[in-house]
Amino acid sequence: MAKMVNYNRQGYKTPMPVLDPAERAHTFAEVSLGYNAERAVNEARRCIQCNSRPCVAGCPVGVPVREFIGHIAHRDFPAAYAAVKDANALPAICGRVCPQESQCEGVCMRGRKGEAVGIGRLERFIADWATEHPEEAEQALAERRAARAAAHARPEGAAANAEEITPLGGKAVPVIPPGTDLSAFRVAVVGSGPASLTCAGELAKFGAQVTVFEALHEVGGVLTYGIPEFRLPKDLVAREVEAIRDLGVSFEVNAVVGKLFDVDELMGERGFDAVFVATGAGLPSYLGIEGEGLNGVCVANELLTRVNLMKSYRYPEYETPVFAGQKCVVVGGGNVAMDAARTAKRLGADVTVVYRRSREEMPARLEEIRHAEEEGIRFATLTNPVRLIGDDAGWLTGVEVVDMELGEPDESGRRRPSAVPGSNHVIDCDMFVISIGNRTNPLIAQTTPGLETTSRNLIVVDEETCATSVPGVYAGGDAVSGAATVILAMGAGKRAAAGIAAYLNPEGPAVGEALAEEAGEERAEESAVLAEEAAAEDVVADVAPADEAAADEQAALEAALVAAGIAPDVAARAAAAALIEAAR
Amino acid sequence: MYPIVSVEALNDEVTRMVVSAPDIARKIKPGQFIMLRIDEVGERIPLTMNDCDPKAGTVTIVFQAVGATTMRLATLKPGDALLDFVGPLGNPTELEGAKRACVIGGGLGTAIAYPQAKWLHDHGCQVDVITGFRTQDLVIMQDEIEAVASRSIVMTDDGSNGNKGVVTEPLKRWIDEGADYDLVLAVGPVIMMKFVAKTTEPYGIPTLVSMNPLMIDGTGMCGGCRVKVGDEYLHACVDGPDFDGHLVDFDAAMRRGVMYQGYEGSARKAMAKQLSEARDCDVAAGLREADAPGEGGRARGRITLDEATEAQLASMEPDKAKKVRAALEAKAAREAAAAAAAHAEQAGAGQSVYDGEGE
Repeated sequence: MAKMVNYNRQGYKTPMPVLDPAERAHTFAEVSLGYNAERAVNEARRCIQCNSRPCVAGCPVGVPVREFIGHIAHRDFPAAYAAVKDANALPAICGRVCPQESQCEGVCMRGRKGEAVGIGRLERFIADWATEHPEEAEQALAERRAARAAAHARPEGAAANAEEITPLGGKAVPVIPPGTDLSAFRVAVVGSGPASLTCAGELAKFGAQVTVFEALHEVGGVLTYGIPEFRLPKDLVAREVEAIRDLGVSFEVNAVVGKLFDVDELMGERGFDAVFVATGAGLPSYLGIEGEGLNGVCVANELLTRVNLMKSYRYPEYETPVFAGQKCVVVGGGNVAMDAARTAKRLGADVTVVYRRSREEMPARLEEIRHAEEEGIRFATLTNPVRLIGDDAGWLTGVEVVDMELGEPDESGRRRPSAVPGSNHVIDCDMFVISIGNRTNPLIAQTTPGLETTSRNLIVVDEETCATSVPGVYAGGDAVSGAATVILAMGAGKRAAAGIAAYLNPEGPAVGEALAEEAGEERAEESAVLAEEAAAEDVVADVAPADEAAADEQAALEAALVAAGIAPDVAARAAAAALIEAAR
Repeated sequence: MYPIVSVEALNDEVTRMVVSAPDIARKIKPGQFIMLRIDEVGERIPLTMNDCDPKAGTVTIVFQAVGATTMRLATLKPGDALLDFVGPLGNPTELEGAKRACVIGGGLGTAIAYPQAKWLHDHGCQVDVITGFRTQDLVIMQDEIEAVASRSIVMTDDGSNGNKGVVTEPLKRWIDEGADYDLVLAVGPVIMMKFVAKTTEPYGIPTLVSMNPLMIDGTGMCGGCRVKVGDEYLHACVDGPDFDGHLVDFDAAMRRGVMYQGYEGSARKAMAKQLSEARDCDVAAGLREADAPGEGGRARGRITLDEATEAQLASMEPDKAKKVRAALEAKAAREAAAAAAAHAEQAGAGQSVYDGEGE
């Protein structure tokens, strides 16, 4: 990718149109409307195509961010789509729900002065573009894959392949080596959320026969039952699932692994060679305060499941009802709390979000907090519920809260909140939604002998390959990490796919090369040409020697910082910052 | 899709349905439940297994038409199919090791208590069975129960079968007579289970109760089915559905049980209306048939008009007669529908302690 010589110096993100707040507080239609081509190109041209490409390191699935944005800047949308889709099985979803500000955009060079490049918005744009131009998109993707598979047979081609997805001075997300043949193997995937879809898609691309088992009646996991329609339209999820089905993956719904059959049976009588377990987060956590059994009190999972999975916002056309109060208090500060608050708002409630730390510590995506505010949701930060109050019939009438203040940072690095004595007061409400996280579903752990778990019931895995203590069994997503994000789950799914491929086919790359040879002289020649072209392009991509020296310096500095015990992401940022300082 | 093999009305309100679900039939055990969804717009409802046949690949459920979903379920016929049928969910009842047990079923709970009594009987345990109903007409499954019980008794609220009273009376009597139970198992309305637990507590007899709270996903995610047991919230779907009756907070469970009753009431009315409209459609179909050429124009819907009216109609112009007949029949159909709705309302939850189990 050529360096951006004449980049767009606009210091802020190109605005993305949204539905009017007054209108959207009453509809479940999607809030953000996305870029058109002009806005997208304008935004892509803000990327300076820097050599250090920290954005790639910031992405759990290793999207070649710099490359795809470069393609958009040059209006080569098919190539941009191919670059994203090759690394990320669910781009339309990630563009909408990833916490970009703490990942790719959080480390973007442009973000040091002004706003980062709107990487998430561009990813969303290119995914939506592909939906409208399916043939062009598919062709570009097929060409890219063929070219990469061919190039991989030669060492220099493989190196070129790896470059854009390898962060400077860092390590690429492991991928299945191009050319690997898994068609002799059957893999069972338990759960159908983002980790599972990614893992299943990756394995199927290399010929594995994959069956996904889902306990609920609909595929998609948290994408279906958790994230609301107004943030992630369900027909979009269905489309992404369809694309994975088209790769040859089969789905079995209403199949509760651990009850209907266990992991041993999958590996035994049902004949699977490997199993990937990604059953997600489980039962909710409670506050442990008086009154949680009152009517009108529910857990965010219940509210969201009723509304999203059972479509109760269309009651009585859909037969599942949902209780919606007049005045609703939501406790929590994460994305789920924002989803619950905005859902309650759309059901007609007047909503207040109560959070015990300050605004800065809220783990929710910035955009979600902003959208919630625009929709008229109030935030009572540094406030913690201590008791729920009910009437004689057992219905909620209010919540007693206490003011909090922040003290020293705790083990999570966030400042520890403590109650201000005597600051108790009551907020009237008839609906209270608990959204303070989940525990883990113990079903698989209980029914799989020898599966090592932590005291919190999380499955223990090898970080690199996602292998569990049981041979052939891999795990990822919230079942391993505890409640986290869609993209982290997808990163785990991708690592697990590579781990499973290596387990099933230990000679993977060798087999790949052998296959390439088998394909005959013609193809080898073709690959040579392609590899040469790729290499030639890379030479162009490499910028002035001074920059290269600077990049090496940055990498060395970063390595030194890591050696000194600094966390890798912090080190990367510090090294980059130091370099910029030096340049001035 | 899960085909329905057979449907049988056990009484006016309770239906037994056999559903083909081979994988579940091989695994499900007494005390475990399934969740079903009739079609795309339907609710997910939990129903505890009544019987299963691993060879035939079938699971039997028994339900009472008390809510919108069960009312609609009761209209399905063999050959129809359910869109979703998932299980086995929950844990099997811990029946292992019991030597002398008393199994108590209230209303529809009897259908769930039966497989437990049968399992105990089959595993060398001496089982007494007590069942309770509102009235004689609603008594179900007595033949099956008598086949496995050492002794059994049926109690009714109104005494119409000669045994007026509640299930705790024979329970206490048998305990006092020295039955020496090492397990008491109660399945039925919350209030009945509460009093069974209260009865056995002074004797220190281990008592299991089968809770059936609100439930949405049934797989350990939504937290809707939380039950306060001792100091903590447990979940019927993954920790239950059976809990130690001496630790369950029954009052809290009863309060939570009314949370969605308002919706249930309106849904029930709406469903009754919808079902009666479906009957109107039957009438309309009958009229269309009557209009069809070659049928002689005499066939009618289910509504029959009295002779005087028929005579009047005969004296009218044929075209006008047809219109009047249609109007009269529609009116009769509406009245029938209103009666059906009233009946459904009357059969609704909260009318008697023996209603409400199953939804």
